[in-house]
Amino acid sequence: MSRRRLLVHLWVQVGLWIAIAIVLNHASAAWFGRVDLTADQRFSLSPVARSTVSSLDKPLLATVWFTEDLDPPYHGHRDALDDKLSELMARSGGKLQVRWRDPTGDEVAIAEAQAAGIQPITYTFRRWDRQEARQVWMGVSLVYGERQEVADGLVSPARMEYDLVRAIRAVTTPAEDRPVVGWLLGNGEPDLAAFPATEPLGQLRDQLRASYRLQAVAPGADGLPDDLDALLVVGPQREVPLPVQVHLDQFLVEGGAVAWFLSQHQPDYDGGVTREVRHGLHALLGHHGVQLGRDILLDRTSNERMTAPVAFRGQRVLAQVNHPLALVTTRLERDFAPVRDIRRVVAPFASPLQVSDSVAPDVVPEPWVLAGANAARAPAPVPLDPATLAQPLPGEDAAAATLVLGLSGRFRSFWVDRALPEELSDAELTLDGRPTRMVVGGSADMVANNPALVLNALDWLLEDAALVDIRTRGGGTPPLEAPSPEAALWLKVLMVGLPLSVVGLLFAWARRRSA
Amino acid sequence: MEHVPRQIPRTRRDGRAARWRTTPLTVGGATGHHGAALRNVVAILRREIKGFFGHPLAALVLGLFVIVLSVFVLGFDDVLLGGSVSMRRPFRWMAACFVFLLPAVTMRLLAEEQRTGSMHLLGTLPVTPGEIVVGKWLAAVVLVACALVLTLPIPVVLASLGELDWGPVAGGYLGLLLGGAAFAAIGTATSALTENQIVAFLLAATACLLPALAGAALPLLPTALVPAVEYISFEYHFANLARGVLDSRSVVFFGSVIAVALRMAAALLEHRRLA
Repeated sequence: MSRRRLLVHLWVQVGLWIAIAIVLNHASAAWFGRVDLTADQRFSLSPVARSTVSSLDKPLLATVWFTEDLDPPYHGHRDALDDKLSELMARSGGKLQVRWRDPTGDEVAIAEAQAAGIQPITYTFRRWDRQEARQVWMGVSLVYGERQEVADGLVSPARMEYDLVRAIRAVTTPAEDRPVVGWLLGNGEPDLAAFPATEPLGQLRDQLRASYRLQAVAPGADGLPDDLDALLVVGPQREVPLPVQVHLDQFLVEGGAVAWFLSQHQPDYDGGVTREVRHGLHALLGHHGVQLGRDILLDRTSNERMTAPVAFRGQRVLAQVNHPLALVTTRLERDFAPVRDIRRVVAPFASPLQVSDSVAPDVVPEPWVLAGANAARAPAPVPLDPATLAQPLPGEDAAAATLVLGLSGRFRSFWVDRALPEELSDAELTLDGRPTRMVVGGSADMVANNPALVLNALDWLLEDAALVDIRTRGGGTPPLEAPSPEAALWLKVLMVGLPLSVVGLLFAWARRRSA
Repeated sequence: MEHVPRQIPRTRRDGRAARWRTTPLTVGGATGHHGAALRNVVAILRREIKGFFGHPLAALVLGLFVIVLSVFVLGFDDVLLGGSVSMRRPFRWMAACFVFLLPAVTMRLLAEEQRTGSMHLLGTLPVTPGEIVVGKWLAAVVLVACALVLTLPIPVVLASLGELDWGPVAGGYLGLLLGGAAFAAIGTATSALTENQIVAFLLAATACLLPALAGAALPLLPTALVPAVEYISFEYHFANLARGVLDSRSVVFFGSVIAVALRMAAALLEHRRLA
């Protein structure tokens, strides 16, 4: 064979190798396998997702309204959704049917998508020389018999499984069978209906509505609605009247689940100090097992930004600063499902909780969230100026504190040995109740700052642990307990010195051996 | 196929008499005898490793890798103050360091042999260009593995400060090993292209930089190109592995890059011999 032909032969072979590599990669994109190495299997379909689709008893039609060729950062979302739906389809035994549609630029399809409850999302993307706003579609509509549901705004691959399973569970459960969740109003609590969808409480409202029948509750003479399954009591600012407290007590004793998120203090920006909140629930909650502390918690090392009055050029102005009163904690008791996958909890204006002596014998209290190791409690009021808070306050104590408590068991009525308010003097009370659950948080502002915690707590209250397990999967990495500066220095010396020593020893050994 | 029979004395370690063996040297393929091919690869690998560790350059490269990585991981981007127990950021820095570490390691693999003329000597031995290339590439991969072992104190320290999930750590190290092996294969190919080590380094660094940076350029590309460019981006495949998902697509991708690069390196050596 001539040299020239050998050379041609050689490079044709190389070309063939490249062609085979391209074909192989193309084929591997269609037939691939994955092994999830994570400890919590966060990239695999969860057991609840598998059981949800495997228990379908009739066809579930999923129409995916998704814009093709999305620009970064959404360019991989279509594949992520396709992966999830493919896995769900495989588990559904043919009951889940999926079809894809791209309504972009198609007026008829846009009208159909909107009729199905899907709304376009506006996002800004970069081109070489400009930024452009684009309207895209990223939702799934589900039809199950007569019922419809949507999982819209699928912008987070980490939440896709939760959003899909939540929607599938919603569409396969008749609306009248969904749990009814009440939101107490009438005592200065924030009204969820008043918040736009862009604000944290508005987002929480929409998330609650997606899974439950959400109902604003202002108890009158007749008490709480009969169909209520759980009640959220968040941040009353005024004293809760005794008749309302009787209704709350009776709801709990009769087996209703209640989550209380209560602040003992709130900022008074005019006075520059904290102001006490007199909601009058101390005695009631103390009887049911939770002593609400009167002190305020602060953490100078682990905290979040919040609006506070600060001195600026001789004047006092409001600014966003890291503030000791907006403490952040990573000390969560991860044995409990509601906080297992939550990485951190932000608790502004929090007060410590304690299990009271009067807790009923068959009520089990479980601390879920503890304040950070560097947190301290100080007698209120305390100044709001972070510069003043930089130094220890008079009476400050570095004792450990609980921020969230979960309690389960049979609660006994607070009014057993007490005179009822005049308005209810003829009422018949239930004194010993049915088993139920209660959650108490030492800060009302936790609700806006930790929606996953609130939703998990609600699922726990309603004993629907299934969604708890997937809501926060992939929600972040575990927290790091920052070492002291001295320990950090030694660790760094170890991390650099050890490998350098190994390199030195290895080469000394190799040189000696070769010599 | 052209067979060039040669008789080569082989020295045995146990000092017994060397025996002569006829080994065909084929163009464009491995020796007919797989066992012999493997022995040749291992012999070249051992020779290279011995050369690496007996040479101050490798010590310098590994030491520099540890120092530069420490500056990034413990200085600019202090993992001990990061607030979360994760190896993602250290992995990114390691991958970035590999873009320059691997060309530094591979630049002398074949360029040096060609410059000093020892490649001609190797040509007289019963080894194919493919065996030479694979042996030298494996030596570079061993060095990559050594570099990765030197970084193990980072996850160990992080694990002492929180609940480190070892799954993504294992995936990340596998991704770095595969990515490093792919970089080493690219470096081996560029080293076969020239006799000048500096040129080989620059070519390899450029060739490694392109797939490493492709991911960052995605927002600037026309939408139609995004999937293809993303697929050739090392970052995309590495990120998959580093989050704890062992994806067959990523393994096939890195395997393809390695196979094609090594085949090109072998072809370049054969081309030089034939031209």
